[in-house]
Amino acid sequence: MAKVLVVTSGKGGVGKTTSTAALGAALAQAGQKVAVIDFDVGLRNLDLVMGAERRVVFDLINVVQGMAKLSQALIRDKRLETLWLLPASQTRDKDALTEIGVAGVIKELRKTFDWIICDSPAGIERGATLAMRFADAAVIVTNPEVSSVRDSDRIIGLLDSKTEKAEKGEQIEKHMLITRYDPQRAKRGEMLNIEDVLDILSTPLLGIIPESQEVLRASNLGSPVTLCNAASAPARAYLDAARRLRGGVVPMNIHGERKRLFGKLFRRAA
Amino acid sequence: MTLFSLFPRRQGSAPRARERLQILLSHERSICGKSDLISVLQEEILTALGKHIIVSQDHITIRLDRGPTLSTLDIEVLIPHSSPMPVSSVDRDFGKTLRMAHSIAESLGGMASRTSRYCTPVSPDVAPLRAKCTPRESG
Repeated sequence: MAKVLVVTSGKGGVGKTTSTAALGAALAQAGQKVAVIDFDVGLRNLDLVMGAERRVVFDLINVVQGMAKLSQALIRDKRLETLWLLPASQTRDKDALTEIGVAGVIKELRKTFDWIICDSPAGIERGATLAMRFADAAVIVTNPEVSSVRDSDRIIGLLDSKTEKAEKGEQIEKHMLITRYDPQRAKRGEMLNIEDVLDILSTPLLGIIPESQEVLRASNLGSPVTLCNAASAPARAYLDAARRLRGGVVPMNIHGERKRLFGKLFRRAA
Repeated sequence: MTLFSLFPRRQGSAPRARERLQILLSHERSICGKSDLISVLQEEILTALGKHIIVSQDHITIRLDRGPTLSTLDIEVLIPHSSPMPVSSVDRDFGKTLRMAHSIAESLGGMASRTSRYCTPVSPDVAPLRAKCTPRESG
């Protein structure tokens, strides 16, 4: 049965798009049929992060308005056969997104995909509320930093009140994904640690993505981090998180970069 | 005195971040997290009780704690000792409110959310009348 997942955070720049691409690719790498949808109308970026920016012809708004068929707007990933992208419109106004239109798109995608991952824009406006509206589960991306934690709390409140599931009296599955985590700084008391964040937000943990240069490298190259370098620390953390999403029990490790002997002997200056 | 104490290390700032967040969020949750249902309940209970006793809005606290399998609706009404009504008749009327709350709580069974944490100060000159409804456990 298809599962609709929203990747949300409230705050911008915490890693929603990176996480959508990485989780989408990780699920597709495991053989699942995945559609990732960009809900950031006017500021689309999922196409760029996934390296499909030059292949966009039709977009979500075109489908919502009946100007294009869903099959015309979906872009198949060049590396993974089971990964598809539905881009947002870069030129249209975000008000062109309607609830009925989005409901129709999600309903149709449910017929053929295992996972529909909605990449939410930052904020709590129309794009963000529609991205979460029809979700069965939510991944709340949070940095261990005060403003991000506060915004996540607000988003959790909205997930529990404004989604279709919540309004029906059902339970929306919520998962915390902590990104840009630096275990050394947390250990020194310079950064909120995992327990602090979980305690404050009282939401179960999906994964811990360590701060890493690999994330920027992957976006430079237009490749989800799990595909770009599957052995890197963030890739392994995303692959673990994807396994947990599928119900697997995976120990919660904070992955570190595997340093070569040379690197261990001479620590590179930052 | 050790060599290290000559160079005082900067205190970690994370505990301060945690403390600030906890205070801020407990406040924000009580404002933003308040669902429409709670305000409707508060108003209706106030109207029902208002027929018999003088109770101000501030003396009614309604708390909805939603858990994965169990939700609790906690209604607390503080009745000042100076209230003109004898408590026995208040009890009778409150029974009605309680039954209403029960049916609402039952319909909420299975809804999930986090627990919101906030407390009400109880002043010594008011007697609390507390009703706690726990809906049936749901699948």
